[in-house]
Amino acid sequence: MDAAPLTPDPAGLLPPVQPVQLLDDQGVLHEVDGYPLDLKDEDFRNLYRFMVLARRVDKQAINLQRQGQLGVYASLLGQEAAQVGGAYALDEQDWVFPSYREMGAALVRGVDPGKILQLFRGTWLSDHDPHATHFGLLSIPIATQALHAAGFAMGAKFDGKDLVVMSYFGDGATSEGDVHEALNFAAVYDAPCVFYVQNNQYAISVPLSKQTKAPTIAHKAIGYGMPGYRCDGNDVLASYAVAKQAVERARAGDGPSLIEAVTYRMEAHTTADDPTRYRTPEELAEWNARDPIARFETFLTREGLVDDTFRAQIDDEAKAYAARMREEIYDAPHGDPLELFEHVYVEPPASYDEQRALLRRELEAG
Amino acid sequence: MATRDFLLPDLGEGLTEGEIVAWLVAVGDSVDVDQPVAEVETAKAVVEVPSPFAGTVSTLHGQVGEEVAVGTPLVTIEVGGSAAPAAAPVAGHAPQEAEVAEMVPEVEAGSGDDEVVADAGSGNVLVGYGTGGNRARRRAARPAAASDRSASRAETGPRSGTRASRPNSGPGSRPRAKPPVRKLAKDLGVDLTSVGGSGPDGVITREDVRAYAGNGAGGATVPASEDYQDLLRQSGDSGRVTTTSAGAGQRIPVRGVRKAIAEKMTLSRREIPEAVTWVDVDATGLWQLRQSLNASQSDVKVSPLAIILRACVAGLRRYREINASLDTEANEIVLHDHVNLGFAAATDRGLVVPVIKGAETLSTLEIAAELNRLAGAARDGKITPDEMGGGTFTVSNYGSFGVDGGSAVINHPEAAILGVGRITDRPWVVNGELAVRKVTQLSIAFDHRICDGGEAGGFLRFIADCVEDPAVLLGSL
Repeated sequence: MDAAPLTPDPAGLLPPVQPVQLLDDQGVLHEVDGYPLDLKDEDFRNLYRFMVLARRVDKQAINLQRQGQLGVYASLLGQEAAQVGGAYALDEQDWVFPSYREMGAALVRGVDPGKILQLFRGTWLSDHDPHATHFGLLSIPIATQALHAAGFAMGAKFDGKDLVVMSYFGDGATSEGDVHEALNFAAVYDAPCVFYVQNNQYAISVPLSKQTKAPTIAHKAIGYGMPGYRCDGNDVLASYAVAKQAVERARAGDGPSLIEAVTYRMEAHTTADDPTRYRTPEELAEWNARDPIARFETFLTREGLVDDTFRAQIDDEAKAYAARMREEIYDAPHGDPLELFEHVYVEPPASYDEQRALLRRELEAG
Repeated sequence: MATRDFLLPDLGEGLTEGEIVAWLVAVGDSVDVDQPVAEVETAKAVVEVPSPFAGTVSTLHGQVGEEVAVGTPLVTIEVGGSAAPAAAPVAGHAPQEAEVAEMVPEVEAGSGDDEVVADAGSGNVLVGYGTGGNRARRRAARPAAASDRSASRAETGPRSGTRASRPNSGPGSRPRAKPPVRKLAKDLGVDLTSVGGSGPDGVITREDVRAYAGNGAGGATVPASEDYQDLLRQSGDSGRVTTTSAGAGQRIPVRGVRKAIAEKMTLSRREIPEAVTWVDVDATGLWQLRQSLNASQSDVKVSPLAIILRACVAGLRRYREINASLDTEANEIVLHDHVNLGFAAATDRGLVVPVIKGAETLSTLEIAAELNRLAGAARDGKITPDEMGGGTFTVSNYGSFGVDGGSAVINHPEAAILGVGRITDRPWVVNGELAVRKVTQLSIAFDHRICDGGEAGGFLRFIADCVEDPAVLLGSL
């Protein structure tokens, strides 16, 4: 009796070594076979709008941290295209399970950024309603959201729901056991899941070269029996087109994929980090030349898709957005710390009461 | 006009202060919300701090190069008629800010010309790494164009460290206490390593700290802590001398190592009822032994101090009350199992006390090697906190200053300190006749709560006998 045939053909799972790029650094469009752009003019403008909003909101969040309004903040500067392009490939019924650096994806999903920032203010673990926008809570522990996504996607499949789940995580997370488990489960169960890695080159200070020996992160996919994709994460069109492929594949019932969007975190890991200790100005300059917004703007201007009036309009909107977020966050009241104990257990264990009493004593002691 | 203070926030995680690198506004300037007002350097990084208020700058709290504590005013701004909460920036109203932020907000390519060594440590962080005492090269994160700022900053001299303080303990022996309790201990000047914990698993509680402080047992931390590298750099800032008015002299801020020394000395003299005794010694035997040791091998240069340190090990094994400390809380004398020999070393930046760990396991040559290594590291400012902690007994070689005698201050909470004067040719009676010998003076200051003259004198006499006739030392090995 013949052994069961290997499925699918492993060779088809391998990613391209060169990331898919549709817009080059100069903003010139090069179409790539297999990655058609199904975007209307309005979509092009929307992508631009989300990227500009993301960058402005991000800057405002950093300012708020430096004004003592946030404990810490993780900037997405430089990753706007990767985040926005990926999330833009999803439909309304689809879900996103983000890490803590996903302000751009949040905006695409319609999440109020001021609510996201409550987490960094220490007031609430994200104040937004995940069910309203299908955008999960920010995951501070590295990689846990990959499991949430895999499980959610498996559940959706069991329930016969038509939805795709996208999990965002970083290059560092790919070394975590959680990602291994999530990819394996999702693949075995053909879960409608897209694992979207923003490879921003550093896990805090650990460079990719010390993160993995794999040829690329996308090459890891074949080990789980799912296709690996690579795209230029600073190219919003490539990020979108590649994500779209993976999303459609998942929606068609063909299972999960792993996308590696090659990008770069221009800012510090968080506001509590000094990246000049581990990367060089030369490297920064090199990536600065690949600014995702500048490149796209060049393209849109040349194509006549945006003009000065539109740009001014978007800038005003971005400012108003940031201003509203600032109002929501500035001096936002902190809850009663004892509230921590309110929503965890139905039947609290004895140790829990002791902890609550200890906290109360500490609070009373000032 | 209503004014509002912009209090310096914790720019990293758990930072306690920041240094003003440059002011980006002047008194009288009007500022918008989010307009950068100052560059501030913390133990983490140099960042531009944006104003939360719009209005007119009325006060800049501090000069370039000065430190501002987190939670104290950085800048005061007249905000107009009412002290309303910060207005949000209105569209088209923030001329200082790029509409779409630049991709490179902090570091510009090629700005690596202004490199400084930053090795501050910040203690605990929630996300990301702490900055615990590494010596990574750090490039000043600031646009290269700001040469005027670079200049003003260069005048401030070596960087002053900024970091949250951490209890005095080596890695692995960090006392267990919750953050608010740590803060309380810090506020009360209590060293948590000295406090017993009554909570579960020995966790130190608020009550423990209060009780300890109430005993008058609290006090300053030893320079030999993880804070040390910062202290060194803070001390380097003593160039920041302010001259008040003509004839009024100079005022030098007491900070860094100087401050730590001051606190440590005050604690010792306040708490310890000390007594001192001393003896003149013919060190010719020691001198000859040292020459023989150096002639017999070339691996390590043996100094007279190294041999005296070895004699101390033998003496401390014999007089255990000298290698001890007092637990004032438990009201018990703690006799230490190991001999961790500290030796006072004068450096450019101040007094430090490197510690030879587990000296009871080392030969004379091994002690000499370790002494040389640690002394070199201290001199070069490369000594690690680990190498300065955990001492059980200290030797002060004040003879290196060319003096004969002294009354050294006990390195709290140790029981005693041995002082060694210079070794010099003096007339000495040998076998009833006057002779020229190598003579020195040894002294011991001891905590009279822990031991009495019998033990201290016995110990000192033993060391003296070893110095006069190293064969005595041999008998104890």
